[in-house]
Amino acid sequence: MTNSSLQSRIAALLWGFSALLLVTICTSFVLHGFDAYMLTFMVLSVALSAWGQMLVRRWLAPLAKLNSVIADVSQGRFNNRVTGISEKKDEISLLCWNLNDMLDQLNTFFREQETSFRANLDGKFYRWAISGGMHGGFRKGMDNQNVLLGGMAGQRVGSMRNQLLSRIHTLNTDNLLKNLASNQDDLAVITNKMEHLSSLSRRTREDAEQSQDSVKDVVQRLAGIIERVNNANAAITRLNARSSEINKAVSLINSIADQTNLLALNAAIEAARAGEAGRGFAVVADEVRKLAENTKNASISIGKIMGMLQDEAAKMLDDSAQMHEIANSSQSVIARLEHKFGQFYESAVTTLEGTRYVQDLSFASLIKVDHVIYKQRAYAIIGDKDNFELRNAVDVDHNSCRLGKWYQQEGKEIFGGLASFRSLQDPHARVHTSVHTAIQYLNQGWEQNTEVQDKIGKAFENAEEASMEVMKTIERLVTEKHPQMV
Amino acid sequence: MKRPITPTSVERVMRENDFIVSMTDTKGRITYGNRIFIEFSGYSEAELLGTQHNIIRHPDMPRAVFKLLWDKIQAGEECFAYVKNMSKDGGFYWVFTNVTPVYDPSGNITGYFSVRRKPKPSGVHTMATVYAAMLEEERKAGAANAIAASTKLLVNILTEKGLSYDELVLAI
Repeated sequence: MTNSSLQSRIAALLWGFSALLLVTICTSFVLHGFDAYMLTFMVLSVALSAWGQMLVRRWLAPLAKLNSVIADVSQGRFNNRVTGISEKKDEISLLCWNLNDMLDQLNTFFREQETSFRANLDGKFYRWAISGGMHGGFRKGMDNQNVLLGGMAGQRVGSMRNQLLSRIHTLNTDNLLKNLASNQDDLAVITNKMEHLSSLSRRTREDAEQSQDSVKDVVQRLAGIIERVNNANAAITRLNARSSEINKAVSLINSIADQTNLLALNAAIEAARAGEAGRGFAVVADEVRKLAENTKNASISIGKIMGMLQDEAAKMLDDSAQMHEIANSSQSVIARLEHKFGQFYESAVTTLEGTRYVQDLSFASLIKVDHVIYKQRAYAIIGDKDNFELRNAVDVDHNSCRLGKWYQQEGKEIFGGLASFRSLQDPHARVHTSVHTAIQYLNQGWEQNTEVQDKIGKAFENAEEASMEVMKTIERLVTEKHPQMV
Repeated sequence: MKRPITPTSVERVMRENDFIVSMTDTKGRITYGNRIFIEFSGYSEAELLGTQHNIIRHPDMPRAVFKLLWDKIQAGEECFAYVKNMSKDGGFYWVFTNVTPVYDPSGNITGYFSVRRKPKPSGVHTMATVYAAMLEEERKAGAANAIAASTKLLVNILTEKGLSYDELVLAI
């Protein structure tokens, strides 16, 4: 086989025909003499040959381009095309267009395959291979590619999902354990304190019972005093009555004395009148004897009264001694009572302090549990993206949650003066903003994008860190507020 | 070279099994167009070769879309877009275009390869509305700020939907 091109072979053929014609005409000149017509044919045939050469060159020109394009394809390059194709619909121009169409199909097929595959690796799972405009086997190839991409996407999403879930799970487990341990400590302290408070209360109750007995004793003793005082009153009343009797007796004695005096005067007169006195004197003597008797009676009655008075006085003395004793003993009972009340007061103060401490500690524990629950909800959203109940619960900011409200009101009143109080606000805000950031990233295709996943992980780590700081600050607040309890 | 062509309301609709393929050099000059391109654009191959690809740009298209497209493909990324093109006779045809860079063996971009398919009617409807709004922004902002203004509008729409541009055009 020779190396000559198709074009040169056709040229040789054309020139061959021209040469043959030339030889024929020359032979005719030699045999039949010169002929102008023949000369014209000769010139025309040469011109036709030359024109044919030119046409052939133009018609076959695309062949070189076709050749180079096909050579490229055999090297795996599909970007070359045949251009400048004749608008005449001959076989060669159709061949060119068909080759171009074939290359378009091939080129598009490989581009689609590569681009969609690469997008899939980048996590852009929405980028499917597009089969529109492709024909037959190419279209089928694209459909197969999409089956492959779907499988890859599913696997990738699954593994990305697991990756974040496992990361969050580890983060959660670590921190949840710490949080729960801290709550456990709080509950242990609360239990301990409550035990102490309850033993204090038990003692207070026992003391109160004892004191009740003492008070009953005092009341009984006071009742005794009142009885004695009543007795004394009665005795004094009786004494008054006796005093009037004494008065009567005394006046009786007085009248007796008067009469005795008169009788004595009469006796003196009678004695003076008669010496024969015997008779009248005897009467007077009798009267004097009666007077003496009356006087003796009166004297006896006074003596009796005096004895009675002595008895009453003795009784009153006795009562007084008893009252004294009662008063003395009451005083010591009351002193004991006073001491008990002092103890009650101290117990009450201690109980109150303990109660406040336990209350603060309980609140701190509640805040911790709140945070644990808040974070658990945020974590739960990863697996349950459209749960609006969870989302609403996590959406609250650091001013609207329990701690936030407490911070602005009771917390400020009770702890506002402490240095730690102000340092609570910043980490608390960070817990909420970090969780919000993480939740926002959840909408940005973390299942396809490790960068987003990393951002979510970072945000949750920030939230955990800030949350730990909040818990420590609250513990410090409680400690600073109740230094005597620690 | 811009010849004044008056747009008409004559629409050409692409066929399901066809695609328009064209290639340009890095400056956007056409180096190849397939027969479907020639058919829809109404130009001959000779007229197309060496001409800027914007020969078929329709005045209803906001400039920002082409800015976005060029930014992306110059960065080596592929770009999707709904585009309304104008034929030589002023008629129009909607395409769903995908442009990818062409590399030489040492990895330099030597040109761009564009495949334009029959677009989804829902996508055409949506993007025609978006483009009209963007065009209005461009008109209001004046030539100097046109692209910035309509890009902002597009970015706002994307942010609101939470989608990238590619995601949006592939989804509608």
